[in-house]
Amino acid sequence: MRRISLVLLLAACRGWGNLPDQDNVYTGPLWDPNAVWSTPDGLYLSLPASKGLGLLDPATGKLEKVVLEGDVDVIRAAPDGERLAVFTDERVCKDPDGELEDCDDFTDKRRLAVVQGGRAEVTVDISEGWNQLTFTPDGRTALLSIDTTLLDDVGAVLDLTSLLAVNLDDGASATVHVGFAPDELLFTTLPDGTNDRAVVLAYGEVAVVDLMASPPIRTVSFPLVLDPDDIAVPSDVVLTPDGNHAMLSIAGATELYILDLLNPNINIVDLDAPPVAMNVSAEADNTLIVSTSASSFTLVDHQFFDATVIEIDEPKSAVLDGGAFDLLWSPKQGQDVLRVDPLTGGVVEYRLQTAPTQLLLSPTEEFAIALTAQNQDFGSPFYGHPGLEILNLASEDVQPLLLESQGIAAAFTATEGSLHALILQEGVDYVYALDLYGGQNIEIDLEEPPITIGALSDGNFYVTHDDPMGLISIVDPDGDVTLLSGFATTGIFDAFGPSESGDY
Amino acid sequence: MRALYVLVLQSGCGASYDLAMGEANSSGWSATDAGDYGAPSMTTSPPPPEDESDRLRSVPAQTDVYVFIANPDRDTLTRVHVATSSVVTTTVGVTPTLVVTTPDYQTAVVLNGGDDTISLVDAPTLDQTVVPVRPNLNRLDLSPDGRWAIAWHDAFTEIEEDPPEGVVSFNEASLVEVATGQHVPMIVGYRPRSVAFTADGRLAALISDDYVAAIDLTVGSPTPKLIELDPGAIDPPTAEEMILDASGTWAFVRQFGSNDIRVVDLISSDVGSVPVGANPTDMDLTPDAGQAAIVARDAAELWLLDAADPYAPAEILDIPPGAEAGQVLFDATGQTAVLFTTAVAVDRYATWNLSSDVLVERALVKPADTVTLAPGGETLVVFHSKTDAPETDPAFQGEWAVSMIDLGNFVASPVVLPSAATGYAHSNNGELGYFMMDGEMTLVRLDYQTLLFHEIALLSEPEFLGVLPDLDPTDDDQPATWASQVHDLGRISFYDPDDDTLETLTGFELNAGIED
Repeated sequence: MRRISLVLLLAACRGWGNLPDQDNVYTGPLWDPNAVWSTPDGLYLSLPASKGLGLLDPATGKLEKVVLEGDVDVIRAAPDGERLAVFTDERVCKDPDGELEDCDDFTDKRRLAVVQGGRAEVTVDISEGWNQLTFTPDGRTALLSIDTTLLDDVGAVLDLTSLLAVNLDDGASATVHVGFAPDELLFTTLPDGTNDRAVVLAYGEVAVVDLMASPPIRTVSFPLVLDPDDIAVPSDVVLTPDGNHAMLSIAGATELYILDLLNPNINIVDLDAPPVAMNVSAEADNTLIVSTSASSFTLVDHQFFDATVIEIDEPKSAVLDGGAFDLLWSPKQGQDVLRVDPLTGGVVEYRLQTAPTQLLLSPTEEFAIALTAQNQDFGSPFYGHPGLEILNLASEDVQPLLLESQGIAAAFTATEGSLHALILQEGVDYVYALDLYGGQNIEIDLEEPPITIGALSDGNFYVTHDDPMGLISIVDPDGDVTLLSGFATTGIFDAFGPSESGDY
Repeated sequence: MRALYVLVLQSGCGASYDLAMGEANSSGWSATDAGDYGAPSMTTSPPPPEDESDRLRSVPAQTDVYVFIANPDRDTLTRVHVATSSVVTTTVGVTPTLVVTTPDYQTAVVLNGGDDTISLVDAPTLDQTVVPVRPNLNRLDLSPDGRWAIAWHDAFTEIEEDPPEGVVSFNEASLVEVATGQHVPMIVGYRPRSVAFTADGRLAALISDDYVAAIDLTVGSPTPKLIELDPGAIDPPTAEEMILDASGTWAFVRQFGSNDIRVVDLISSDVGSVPVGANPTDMDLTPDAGQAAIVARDAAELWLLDAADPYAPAEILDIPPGAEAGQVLFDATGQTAVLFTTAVAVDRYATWNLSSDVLVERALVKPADTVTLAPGGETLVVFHSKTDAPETDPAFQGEWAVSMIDLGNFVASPVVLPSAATGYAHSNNGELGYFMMDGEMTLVRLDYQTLLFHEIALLSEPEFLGVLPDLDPTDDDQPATWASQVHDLGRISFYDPDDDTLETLTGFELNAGIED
């Protein structure tokens, strides 16, 4: 990432006593083109220079800084794609009556802000360390945990066996003991859409948290081992559609743990091979499981948890959920992509020219796009080239395209009657736009090589570029490009004084 | 290997969990040890004693709806509801080693060897009462009505690697009233060997080396009446086996090395003797309880004593000598009995028609190791030893085998087995049976009507098996069968013979660690 050095001249705005000194030479990035979140509000951007968060209006190119208490530390997107969770730190004087300028005994005040509509809707004081967050899909609760790998230093005693449950309606928070190093969280859902329980994977155990209780409490803890010396590291977990059972795989083990969440009880189903990926089908009421060590996949029904093994040509290691079907594939291995009907176990095979590095499903679930690595098959027309292959999931057709450079990302937009995908290639200054219904594909030239791409809620795409002052291309699927530039300087003076108005 | 002790429902016939079975499995017992005679029976030395222990029998550990499994390594008792597969594990005392269930299916009685207690566990709720009992007890029996539990010390089933510690008594028993938890400790004589009850549950008797301890179970606080078998004798023969007459008046005691049966009047405490031929090796009451049948192996005679008047002249029947029979087994209908031996490598047995008193010698494909009758009485099941008789068919030479024999026409259906059978169970409707084998991850189903075998694949080697009661023998449904298996986290499978399906629960021992 290119950086910029700015000497901040404030003479027009402030008295000479406020002239910047040598400390006001800033050499860090003003924005991060890899830290952009698309929401219906627009594009939220991380602003490292001002330690803030900005909201860029794609239509006008105007960036507004989101008012937050403290400096932004961690930003996480909510699964609904509409909100952001922002952890902030503020250095305050330990003496609540003390002035910051005169203070000689400081402390850090950490907060969680939930941002939507360009402002912090909820702000909650939290203790140090919380840096991971999972929203319940119903938006009522945020569950915070601590990822020690993200901690630069530890300034306090941290409890690594708990979650912090935050009620997003009233900001109330409470810690819930769930076991050591809680990792993945899943939620059960009532018919009205309310998430009533959280299933939390911790080290060697699984906890169930009652989210309807006030404050939320752990109701059940399932051990995964009998002997503390034994190690059982959960590798994946899914919930049955009725929310009554959790199915849990253990790294490297062939056993699939079935946890009865209603009548706490454990059963273990033996599989032929260690699961590496699972996907639940609500329609078929079963779970599809793949393994890298067996040329088969397994369907486990949710009533008796019987396993049905279906042989295939080669092992698969990943599953994409297509709703009524599953796509089985293996990143960088194997040229087959399988479309599986979980109801019948029927398989449709798509043969690619090259092993895929990424497989992306269109939001309409009609197409999948495989980005493939450089072909190593000497006899292939693709030899020596990366590729792009379009899988028509309504048929068995595959349309292979040869790419100029390695495809590194793709984004889809769907509007009524149209479905487009934008393909990003490494180091080239254009993006490739696919009209998946019309079949007309075009190259769209860009001002600068792209860094990331994504879809906007209005059907356009955005493409970020490595420009120190800020540069984003708004791309119409038809090829029109609008440049937004220079927005990254907004708020840059925040470090030296109030800036909400932007008037310096 | 960790042993799972599977517990048992007393079915009213006084059947009890056979600890020898469990220990045999956990210590590597196999039918090879029991059934390999080393050489055919052409020896000049006397044959060894009959091996009467029905070691292949796995007593069902169940109620009408539950199977109970004791987990001695974890101090827990697991209850599995067979129909719903729901599993609940509860903590009991330290090292629960034996479990029995009462005939009304309401209580599981658990003997905890580690802290010398009995847990009386309510089967539906798992609420429990803990009763301290005498130390170092290792056997547990229930009265047929399920009112009383007797725990006692069996010196012959002590685990060699885990001998009792501290002050060790070889005379004690604990009588516990199941409903109230009332505990009555008592002395029952040196080295008790077995417990017998009258069918109505009014009387219990423990036989020890030299005494019969008679216990009137109808009184509020029962006390034993000790009756010496050979009053005043120095080094008398020790008792080996005892049966009671139906009224609870007489006890018949067979002693090692004696050609007489000791007859004990449990009311007057008088003791007398009745000669029964050379080398009596087995005795049992006839199904109508009218006679005590004693097999005199060396005399090749079957002595029948009037159970109500033991001193009346005995009826004596000749046993076909080729059978070399030392044991008798009655079918439940009282129509037929079979006489056989497990002490020598003889491929013969005899049938006894109780109506005509005709005994007929018949052939087996090879010598017997364990013999059982299907509950319906129509089919004889013989688990054969690996040892051959001189005339053993070449197809069965050196092989383990099992035969089903139709006792109506004596058609036999023998099959070769890959290894020794290690346990069996019948359905109580008499239509199906099951057995398991050493090292084999299978169950074998025996169809007593067709004499056909059907192998059922399991996920691991079975350790115990049982068949749930057939609660409605008039319908066409067959009861489910369960097989507990060796697995670190606990495993049990349920087989439904109606649709030939198997359901397996694994990991139920983890349930003990669930916190809610």
